[in-house]
Amino acid sequence: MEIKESVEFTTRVYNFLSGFGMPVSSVELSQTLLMINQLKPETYDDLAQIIVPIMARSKDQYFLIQEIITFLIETSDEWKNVHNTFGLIHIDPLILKEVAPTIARLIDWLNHPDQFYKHLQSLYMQLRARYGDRTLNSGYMLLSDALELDKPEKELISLSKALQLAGWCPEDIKRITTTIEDMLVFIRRNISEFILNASRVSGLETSLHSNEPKSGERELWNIPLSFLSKKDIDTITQIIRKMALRFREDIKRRQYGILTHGISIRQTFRLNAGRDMLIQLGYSKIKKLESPLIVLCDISGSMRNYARFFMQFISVVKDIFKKLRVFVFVSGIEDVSLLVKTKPADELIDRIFADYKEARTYTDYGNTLRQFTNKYLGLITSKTRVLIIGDGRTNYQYPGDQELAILKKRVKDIFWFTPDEQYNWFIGDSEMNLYSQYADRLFIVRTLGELKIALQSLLEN
Amino acid sequence: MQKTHKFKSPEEITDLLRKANYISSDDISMAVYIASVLSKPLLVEGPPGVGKTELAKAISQSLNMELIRLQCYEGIDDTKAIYEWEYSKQLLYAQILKDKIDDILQDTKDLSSAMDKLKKFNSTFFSEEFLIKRPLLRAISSSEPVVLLIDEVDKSEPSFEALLLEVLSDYQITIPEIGTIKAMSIPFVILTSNNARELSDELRRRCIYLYMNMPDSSRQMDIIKTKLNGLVSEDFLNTINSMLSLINAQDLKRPPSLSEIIDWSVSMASAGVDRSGITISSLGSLLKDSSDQQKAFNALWKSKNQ
Repeated sequence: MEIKESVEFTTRVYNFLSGFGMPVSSVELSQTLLMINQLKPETYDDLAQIIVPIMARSKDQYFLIQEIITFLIETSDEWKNVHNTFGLIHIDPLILKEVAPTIARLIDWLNHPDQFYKHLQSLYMQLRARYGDRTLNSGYMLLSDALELDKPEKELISLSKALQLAGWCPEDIKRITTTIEDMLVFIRRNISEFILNASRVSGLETSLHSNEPKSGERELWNIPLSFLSKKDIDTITQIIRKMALRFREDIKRRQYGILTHGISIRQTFRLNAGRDMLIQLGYSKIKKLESPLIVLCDISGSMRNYARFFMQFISVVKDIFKKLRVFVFVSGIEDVSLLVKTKPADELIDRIFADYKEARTYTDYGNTLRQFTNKYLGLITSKTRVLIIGDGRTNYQYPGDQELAILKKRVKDIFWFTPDEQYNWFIGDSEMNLYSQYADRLFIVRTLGELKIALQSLLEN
Repeated sequence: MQKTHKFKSPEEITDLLRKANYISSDDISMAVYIASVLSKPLLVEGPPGVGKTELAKAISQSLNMELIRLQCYEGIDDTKAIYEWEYSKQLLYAQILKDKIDDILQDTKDLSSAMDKLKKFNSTFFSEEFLIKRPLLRAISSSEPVVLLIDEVDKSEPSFEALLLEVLSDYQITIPEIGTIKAMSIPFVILTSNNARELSDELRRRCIYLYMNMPDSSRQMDIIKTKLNGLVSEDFLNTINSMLSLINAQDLKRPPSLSEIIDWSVSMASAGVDRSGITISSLGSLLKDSSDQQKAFNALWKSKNQ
């Protein structure tokens, strides 16, 4: 293979990766070219061995880049076309149209991004005419509903069955399903970007394929947490884990005094009291957050994602609290403090969902609060901080405001995290407006960014 | 000019590592080669027991370079990784020197001239004499190139990664009281991670990335053969191989890692055990879970009777 040829190919890989939203710096590109000059690879496999370790940054990327290179070699001439169809050209179009019409439509759109964009625009205009300014806030959900984005996941199952019947081997089917899942994530991101831009500029002049490299995480910060694919849930769980680790460290550092390497003057003098010089050093111990925290978390269907993410968070930071009690509720309350203390985060959330006996019933705030004040009022002191995570939808039952009033009198403050926008507080069975009178600090938590802000103020003393 | 070791080609690395009893693969040799040519750290990720740490040891052995190892753990900080002032020694010296100061200041008339005189001794207490060198500083200040192994970076906290960045990208360390210490020789840096925590992008950007997977069965056999110094027969290797594939086919809680497989084959070879004489206790070096041992033993026993 000529050097010129391999340089061209490497540049193509580089462009392809950047187009995919994978961060590859030009330094890495130039280093790869340097290595090519030095090693003069003779086959594409040799070339791949050079490209992969320099450009990859994680296990997933390591294999993905390997695959992409194989893929580019296989489809050398038509790779442009393939880029747009996400490698789905091999599927028989008839099967696709019959079994998975929504997916077929989405693939079609991806081949013609400008048409997709126009379609989005007109949909958005229609929605705006119908819902007014509300479109800006819940636009993501409205648009996803209009595009029927809940269907592809079901269609995927029937599609893989159909492909199996058509004689595909399992690995190929798996590869195709992952590509389609990737494609769905891609579309969701594009929609959320579209909405964000739409709410920022009135002119709606955005482009679907912006040239600047995307960092996948940054966009996830603005997607509503209640509407996520499984892949996004995994990524966000990771982000939350990292965020929690960061918080924990900040708090530890603040108390440990990192500037003095944890040396405590008082301890030092005490240790050396018997001598007339200072020889032994004393170190300060980590203090924990003084005020006890009690959490009541709604784990009913609509709140699942929030519960999942919160449990992930609390499971990482649990050791900085002096006293922590966690309760979950749907129609009645259950103490899960022991689980939180003993189980690792991944296991915790599944255990909670599995153990809660009445998970399929309706949310009953009245009963929950009554049970709490009857059984656990003894836990509460004037220093206690109570956090309630719930959307305040009572299913038209007794809202439990009397119990809440008792609580408010006794505790230091009540925090409330709700995913509902303020205009929803008056609609239907929502009692959020009533509850907001009792909450000392109330946060509307719809996205990851908002969750971070809310948690930050919870941890501040 | 900073001294550093450069390899000639990936093939040379494979040969050198083989001499150090480490069986490399094309991917591994290439990544090591690229890292050495570009003078960049090599970040090795992979499941436990596939030979990440072993790779660093083999490189240091084959190049005859010293191996400096920094084991990361939760709570590690700059005083454990880079340097620390020897506080108690400083305090002790301060006490002893107290009397001397009176001698020095005897003939000074006023405060300012006393200060001038004392200023001459300013840097005494913060000099290299009171500096405890930790692994990173040791690797940087060594006159000969060394292999620096930063083991299990993922066990440390995110703030510790930031400490590493200066060392990894510029091969220098800044100590506020002394100044910047630049490397006299560029160390060959290897970082390993089990991916218990996602490493930051800044760290990844500065490294060459290598994902090490469990070796395929032919490389695995090659490794076992080298570890047994080629003393065993081809038959024995085949038996081991077939037993391993049978054991791996079971639904195990903890599948055996490469290092455990090596331990086990060595123990099998030295005890002279063959397939018919296998007992549960002889699986102890391979499987570390009682239900796994039971499963594997049952499977082996069944296949023996067929």
